[in-house]
Amino acid sequence: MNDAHTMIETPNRTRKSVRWPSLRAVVMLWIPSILVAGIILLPIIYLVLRAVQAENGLDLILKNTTLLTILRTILLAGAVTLISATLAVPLAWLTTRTDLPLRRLWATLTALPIVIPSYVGAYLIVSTLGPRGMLQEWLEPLGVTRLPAIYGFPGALFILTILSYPYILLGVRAALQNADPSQEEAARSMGLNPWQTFWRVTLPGLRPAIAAGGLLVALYVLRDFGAVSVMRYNTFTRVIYLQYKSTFDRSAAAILSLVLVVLTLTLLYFEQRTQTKAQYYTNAINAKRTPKVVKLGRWKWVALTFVILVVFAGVIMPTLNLLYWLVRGVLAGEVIPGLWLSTRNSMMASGLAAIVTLLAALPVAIISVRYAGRVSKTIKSITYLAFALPGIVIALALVFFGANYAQPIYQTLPMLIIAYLILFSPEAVGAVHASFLQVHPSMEESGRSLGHSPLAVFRKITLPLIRPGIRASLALVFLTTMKELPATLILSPIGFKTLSTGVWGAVSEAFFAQAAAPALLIILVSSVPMGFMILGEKQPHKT
Amino acid sequence: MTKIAVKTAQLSKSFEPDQSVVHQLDLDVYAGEILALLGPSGCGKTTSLRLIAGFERPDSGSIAINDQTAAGDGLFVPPEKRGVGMVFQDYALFPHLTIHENVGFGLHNKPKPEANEIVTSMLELVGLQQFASRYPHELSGGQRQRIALARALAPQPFLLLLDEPFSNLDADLRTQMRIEVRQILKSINATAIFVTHDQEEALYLGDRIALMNHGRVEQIGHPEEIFHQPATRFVAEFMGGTDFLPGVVGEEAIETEIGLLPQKVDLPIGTPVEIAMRYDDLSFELNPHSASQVEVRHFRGALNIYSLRLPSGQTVQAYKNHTDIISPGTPVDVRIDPGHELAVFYQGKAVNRRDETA
Repeated sequence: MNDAHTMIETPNRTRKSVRWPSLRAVVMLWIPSILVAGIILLPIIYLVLRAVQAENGLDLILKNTTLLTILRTILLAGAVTLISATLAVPLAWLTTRTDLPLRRLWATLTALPIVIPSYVGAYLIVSTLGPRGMLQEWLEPLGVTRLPAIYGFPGALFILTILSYPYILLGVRAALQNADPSQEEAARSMGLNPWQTFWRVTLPGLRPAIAAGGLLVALYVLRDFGAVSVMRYNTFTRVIYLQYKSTFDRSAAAILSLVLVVLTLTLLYFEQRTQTKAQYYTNAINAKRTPKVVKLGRWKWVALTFVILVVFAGVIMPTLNLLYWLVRGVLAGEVIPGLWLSTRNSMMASGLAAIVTLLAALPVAIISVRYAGRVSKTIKSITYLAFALPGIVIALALVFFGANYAQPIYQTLPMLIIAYLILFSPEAVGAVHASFLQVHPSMEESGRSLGHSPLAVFRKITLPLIRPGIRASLALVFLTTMKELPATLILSPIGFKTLSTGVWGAVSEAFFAQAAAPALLIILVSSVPMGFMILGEKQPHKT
Repeated sequence: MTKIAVKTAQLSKSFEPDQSVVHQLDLDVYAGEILALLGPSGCGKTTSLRLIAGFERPDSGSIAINDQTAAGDGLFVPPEKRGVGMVFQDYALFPHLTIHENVGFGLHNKPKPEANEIVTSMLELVGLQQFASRYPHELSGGQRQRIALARALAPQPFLLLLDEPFSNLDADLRTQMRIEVRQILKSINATAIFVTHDQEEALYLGDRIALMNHGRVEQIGHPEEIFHQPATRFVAEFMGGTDFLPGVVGEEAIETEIGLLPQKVDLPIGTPVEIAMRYDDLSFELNPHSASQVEVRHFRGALNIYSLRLPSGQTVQAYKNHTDIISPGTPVDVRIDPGHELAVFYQGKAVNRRDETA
């Protein structure tokens, strides 16, 4: 009886939600939060206005070239998703449920390509298989002077698939490991053989995980700028970039950006829906036992060949190639010049972005927890806008806005930092918000009742307790900024070279050796957060 | 006359329009007493406590602590300036600080050596001096509870507030902790208000009990008073184990279906009333011709408590020694046999003539 009372008693705390903020809270939390939301919203509103006001907007959308772009983008996204799923499901099954030799090693290696930013991945493919690439140089003595072109659809398809299939793989692997083995056992007891069991019980159970992962892959393709640009395949992001670069009619770029945003939002909507469903599925079945290991028998060698091929394409070939160009570059003395400078620039921009984004995220996270309500929820959702906005769109929006209304900071470092703030505030707010949720209001009240002012309580109690979230926010934003390309490319002050624009520039001009060192640095840097993501995914199923 | 330590007057608070959680609360707490704010969940007891602590602003009314206005008349003293210590339901110990640092947290205005001395003596008071350098997660539930108490007491608050202090402990520990906490509070002659929904806890720990319902105090008084002379039907019901037997006011006594209760009330003859009875206020004997019968037997160790069904369908509780076992369905005669005055309610309010019977 007492316990029942206690359980009813706990919602007490939610009453605080309707509390009116004090003047201090307004000055220190609400005004900064609204400012942050404004900074994020303004350029985007401007972009929308710009697109809507364009005279020939509808004509432009209905133009053949635009429709073709839409078609190409959807085609690429669809093809990448389909092939990724075809690769990922067997890989996930082989690395979780079978007696594949060196299973754990393959499990790690097959997830690795996720750490390669798309333009770096594209560079690694082009510099291997493209003109003046590694393969051609090796084959030249044999009289081969031309290789089949890898640019265009096949190249984009290949590289995007290799880089994004891990998104499906990780989800499916988690689903396989959490699945309740008794379902399969029930199927077997009803007379199905293992093969039938897989098709009729295991695979249907994986459908939500495949769908969720597939949508992530499709979103990845929609947002991607680097790979399609290096591969010269005209999907939205590249067309927008070319429009912006070549013509003075920026309304066209704005309209195309909006169409892309609509596409992204549609996908995001479905992604949100399946994500909850997938979670429901994995949560609903609480596996207590590990499923039996399937013996592959003579299929073992077929399976192993398949896995090795994927790992070769996604990990071994890129690594070898990177090392090849690195060594060549070092020998030719092409590596060091500029590397130090661009590293310093990257670090500075990323460091500033990390700090500024954290400072912006803090008040937003605090009001969304301590003053939960419609207004604070709206502000928080605004900081998550970047999820729906490809980097190129945010960059363009800022260019338009900056050129017209913020001339003094246009093409300066602060403008670039604002772009990063918009791009990465979801990560920062997410991290801080999560850690803030852990601090029960009674902690702070307790500090108050022990005679400390609200500020002292924040400094002595809240801050130390949310430190993990602050650290995560700083690290995430720092590391993702290091590898960011489109915004950096468009908004960097003139002459401000970073690691990512360095790779971009060198690849555009086929100076492959020059790109090797910054590419390696970027991969190392982006391995850290992705590593956390992979490890995080693996946590629930310790065997 | 003892000094009034805390006084609330016409204190009201609502979180949603037209739904006051605390409604015109008048409460006096005397120096050195432990007051239990008792009531069902949602009755406003925790909000009252938080108003006194300063975590909520009252909509109207006033609070005076130690004769100084803490809230009211446009004045609002923030919690850190009220000199009020608080023990939270979840203890709210700071996980990043050691036990010593936790207990010393409120002593930031004292010079270090003095603060250390106080912390040590506080830890001694709660018997946990050997845990000073540990962290909260290394302590058991009961130990955390005591640290929370020590931390709240360390700055020598004028008033101590405890919000459901034992609800996170399991039954055994809860009983033990309430004994310890009472001893500690009494040893330093603390003034304390604690919130609970557990009537047993309130009876044990409170010098006085204020029973709240729908944001108002239904009755305030000593535990015996609350238990034996409930002012309202709600109080009798909430204190537990009570059956309400319908009766009709007669000339010299109240008439019920199981006989007369020789008590007078100032109500016209024929008025329907209700009589509050606990299982020790009735007795029964086997009688094959009776229309009442045993419905269920509840074994309670030393006692057997029987649920008896009267001819009208009303059920009442009565007890027999554990040696007497009577099976369900047995016809029995039921008699009112209280040995003291029973509470009689008319329209939910007690109508006993207190002054004459006292």
